[in-house]
Amino acid sequence: MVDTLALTLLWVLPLASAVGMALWPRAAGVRLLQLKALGVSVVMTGLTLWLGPQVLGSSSEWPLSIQIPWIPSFGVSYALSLDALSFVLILLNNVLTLLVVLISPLWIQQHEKSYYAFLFFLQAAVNGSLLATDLILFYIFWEVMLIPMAFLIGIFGSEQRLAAAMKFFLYTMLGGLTMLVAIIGTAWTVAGDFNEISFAYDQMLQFPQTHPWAGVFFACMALAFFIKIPLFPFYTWLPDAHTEAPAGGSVMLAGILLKLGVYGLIRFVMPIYGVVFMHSAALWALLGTVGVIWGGLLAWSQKDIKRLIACSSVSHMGFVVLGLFSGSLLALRGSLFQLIAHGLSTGALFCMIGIMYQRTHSRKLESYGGLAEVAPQFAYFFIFFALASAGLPGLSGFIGEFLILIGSFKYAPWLTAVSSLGVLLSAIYLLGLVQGVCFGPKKEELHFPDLNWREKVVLWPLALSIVVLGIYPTLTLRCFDPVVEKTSAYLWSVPAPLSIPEPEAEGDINLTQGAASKLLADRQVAGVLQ
Amino acid sequence: MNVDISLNLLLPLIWPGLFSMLCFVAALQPALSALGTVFYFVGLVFTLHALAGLWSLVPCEALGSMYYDSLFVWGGIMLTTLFIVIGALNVGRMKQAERWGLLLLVFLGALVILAAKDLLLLFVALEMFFILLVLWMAFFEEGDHPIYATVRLFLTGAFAAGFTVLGISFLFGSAGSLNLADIGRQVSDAPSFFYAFGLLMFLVGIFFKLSVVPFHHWAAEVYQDHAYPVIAMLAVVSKFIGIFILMRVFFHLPMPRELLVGIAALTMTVGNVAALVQQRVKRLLAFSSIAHVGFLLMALVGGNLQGFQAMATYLIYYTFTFMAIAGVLMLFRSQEDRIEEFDGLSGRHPYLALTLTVCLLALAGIPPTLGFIAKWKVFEVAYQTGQMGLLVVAILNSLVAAYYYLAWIVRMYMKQGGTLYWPREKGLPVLVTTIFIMVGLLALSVYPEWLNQLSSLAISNIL
Amino acid sequence: MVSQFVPIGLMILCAIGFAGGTLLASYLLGPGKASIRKSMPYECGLEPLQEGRGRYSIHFYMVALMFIVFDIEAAFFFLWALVVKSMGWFAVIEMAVFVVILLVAYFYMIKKGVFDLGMEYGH
Repeated sequence: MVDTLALTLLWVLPLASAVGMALWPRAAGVRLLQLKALGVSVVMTGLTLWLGPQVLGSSSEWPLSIQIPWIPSFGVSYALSLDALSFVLILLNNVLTLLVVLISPLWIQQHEKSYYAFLFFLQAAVNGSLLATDLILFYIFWEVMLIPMAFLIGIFGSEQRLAAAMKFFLYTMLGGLTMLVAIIGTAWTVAGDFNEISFAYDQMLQFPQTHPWAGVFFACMALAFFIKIPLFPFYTWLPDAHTEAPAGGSVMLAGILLKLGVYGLIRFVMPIYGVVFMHSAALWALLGTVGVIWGGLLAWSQKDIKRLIACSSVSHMGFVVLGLFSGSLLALRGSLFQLIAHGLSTGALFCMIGIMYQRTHSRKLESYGGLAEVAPQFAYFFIFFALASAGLPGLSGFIGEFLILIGSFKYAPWLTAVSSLGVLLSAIYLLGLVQGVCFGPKKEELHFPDLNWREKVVLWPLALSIVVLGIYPTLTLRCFDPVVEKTSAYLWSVPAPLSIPEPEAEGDINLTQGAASKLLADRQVAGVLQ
Repeated sequence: MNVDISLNLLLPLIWPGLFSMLCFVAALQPALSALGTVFYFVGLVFTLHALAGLWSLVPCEALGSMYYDSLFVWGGIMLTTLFIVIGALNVGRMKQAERWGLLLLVFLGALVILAAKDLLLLFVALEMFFILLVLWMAFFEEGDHPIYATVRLFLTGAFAAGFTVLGISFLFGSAGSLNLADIGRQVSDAPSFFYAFGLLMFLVGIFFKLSVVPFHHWAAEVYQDHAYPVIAMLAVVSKFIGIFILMRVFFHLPMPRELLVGIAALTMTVGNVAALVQQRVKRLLAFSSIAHVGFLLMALVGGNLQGFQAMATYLIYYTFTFMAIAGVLMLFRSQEDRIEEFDGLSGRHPYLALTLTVCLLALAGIPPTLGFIAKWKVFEVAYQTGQMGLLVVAILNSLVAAYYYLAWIVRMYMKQGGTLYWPREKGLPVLVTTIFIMVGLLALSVYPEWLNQLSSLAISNIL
Repeated sequence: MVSQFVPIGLMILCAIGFAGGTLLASYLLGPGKASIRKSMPYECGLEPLQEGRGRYSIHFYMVALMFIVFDIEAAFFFLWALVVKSMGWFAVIEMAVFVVILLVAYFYMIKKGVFDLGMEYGH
């Protein structure tokens, strides 16, 4: 009962407060509205933290889980589960929402009602899709997520906002529709001609992986996540959406929405279509590598600061994809870590850009210069986050990329070698950015006050967490242990393809092997039964 | 000659007829003409009661050529509800009692169509429905050129009726019977050329009425010149009936599936692509309704009970969502019916804009609206019948459709400068009706199990 | 199956052949000199008096429609008369309902002035 309530509250509370925001009487004043928003997001963060010990301390596969029939005749249940992976991402989501709510009064001076309403709507949808373990329920949350994000871009964005909102919506919807087909196909294949249809996650895992249609379903479902990540050829919506979105929207988009693509791959695509996944892994790892280099080159050539950071996201998420598909557990850990690290550092960078834009109303690189002299505190933070994003050792960005590179080197040496150029590239464009913004000749007409208390309150936690994760990464890496175990168990329980060897005998993976063989046995039994 | 006659079976047909006569009588005294509205709703409620009473009797035959099965009773109840909604949208607009009487007779014709499995009866009922519909339409004075549009529809429909009769006569010639089931039995082993030709002509006639591509040209022209109640009637009731006829025909007669797949793909593609470039709201609605017929046909391709259920689901969603949209649009006072007038509507009328947005998202099939559930069920049917090509076409079409619905929403929320407004002195009945529909749709989308129960009633006992 | 339709086909062919042949023959054999008089509509040798599209009073069509309705009613009565004995009371009631409906329509028409033809003839 407590589980049900807690898990439901994670998405119902933001949704309810979104409705509350929308119905908020104008006469009550903006101040109260902002306080209310802050209160809700503090409660949300508190709720998540309260669930933390239960989730991370538990050894079961789903520490918290509920399943209630919702549309029984269509095989859909209201199934929510929380494990370490979704917990960490939900925490990231709620913390980022809290920070955005905290700083938004500086950025948003009109239509505050709808701004906060859409922000909480987005939070609800993201939490919901991280919780859902029924594929149709997941699909609903996944698609609903588009609506508030498109509105945030379309109402609060800059000049080209309408086109960007439409592009974002349609691009991601295409992926969603193909995913729907994959979900339907997979569920009906599992159900066969005789069984009751069910879209529950456990049921979907029974998908016969060597089914002739597995490749098609894999492609259809993965497309949705590839677009969201975004993987190399599907990235074109991202620079536009980021550039036109309001700063708060950009933080959410880079900080959590892109991560949902990776989440989808790990949670759904890898376990359900393991064989196809492993057989086609080389191609996706290649695309990830291309993304690393291409994104880096794109970022290098940008004159618009926001666009530059957006393109750097393409590059960094390319690393994550490489790590996922390289077939190395170490790289998988690195990818998971990179999700958090990138969410924090890029979110922080978009915050910085929001702060700059609020002061000068310009995103052009050439309108800045010499800020280190004018606004030293601002410059400290800016340089710090840029270095974190570039992967400076000691900060969080380094851990993720390093783990990915050393993990995947064994299996894909050439791709890894090329990707490591991406680290170099990111140093080039980020240092170029720092150079252009903080140093160089001072722009005379530039009026740039230094950070105020509200901005510092938002930036300090981000900076601190980046340092903590960079110095003591085990904190997060240990959280991901069960996830890695589970995923590797799914992957290596399927008949091994030729290209990818068994996981290396690292000390901490022995447990994994045990789990894998147990799961393999389960599956074989299931296969015999079918 | 022994006539098996039971009053229960006839009551659903007697009530609308009787009350329409009362409407015409009331029309004779100007003082009584307000009674027409009352008679209309009382008649429909009585019909609803009589139809609900039929559940225990189905399946059975009535009067030799009407077949009462679950599909009929379900469709009848749906139809009655839709007519109640249409009537409610027109309260206060239709002053003359004759118009209410005519509407009841249109309803009667539609109801007979749902039960008809005899081609002759089907044709007579179809013409009764159609000609009285045209008469009813001609009374409207709103819209740009209502009479012009009415005559246009009449000529097109009369032309289509010719095809239908030709088809029926060939079907009769090839099978020696007018009963659908008999024809199906006769031709099932070796369909002859005459059968195929007859079926094709018959379908062409129905396709005209359904405004399926390539017989769709009249729809946009008629819609753009007419009033919203008429548009709702044509886009909802007329399609509802056409789809029902197709369902009946497909249930009994052998037919090439490829034809239907092609027509479905063509209809949704042409409808959506044409809607993409429309600047006038009514034309946009016309093409969007054409596209939705394409999706309905996609469910029909399954040809099995599951397909019928998906179709019933889609019908519930589409008809009521469209009614709600028509209701909202009726409230506004528009200058030129151009879509630019919607710019910035959310600032002027936030709740109406929200209602319209929810409806448009539903039409675009975006969760958690009912549109998503309906689309999902239709996709499922296409997947299970192995129509992968059609599925791909449908996905691309959903995207195109999402584009123009979304562009409309974008106008309301993200642009400024439109002139559309709601003169608050009128439109209370419309507002109340729309709210009722929205509450119903909301309830169904929160707990879609009800939707499933509703749609599975339709196929529980097909004759 | 198809062979049954051969006579019909032949008949259609004959019809087309006869009509087409006549037209062709007159086209080939006739002198083909056009004059104003020849191009006019054929009115039994007289010159046309007025436009072909003269307008009638709406009552003309009304009366025509009434006539058809009541004519069909009469035709229905004949058939009914054949079976009324074997069908018994049911048929009588049925016809009574039918007649009542027609009567309502009839009174409706009277009230609406469909039969007030006198005024129109004054013109």
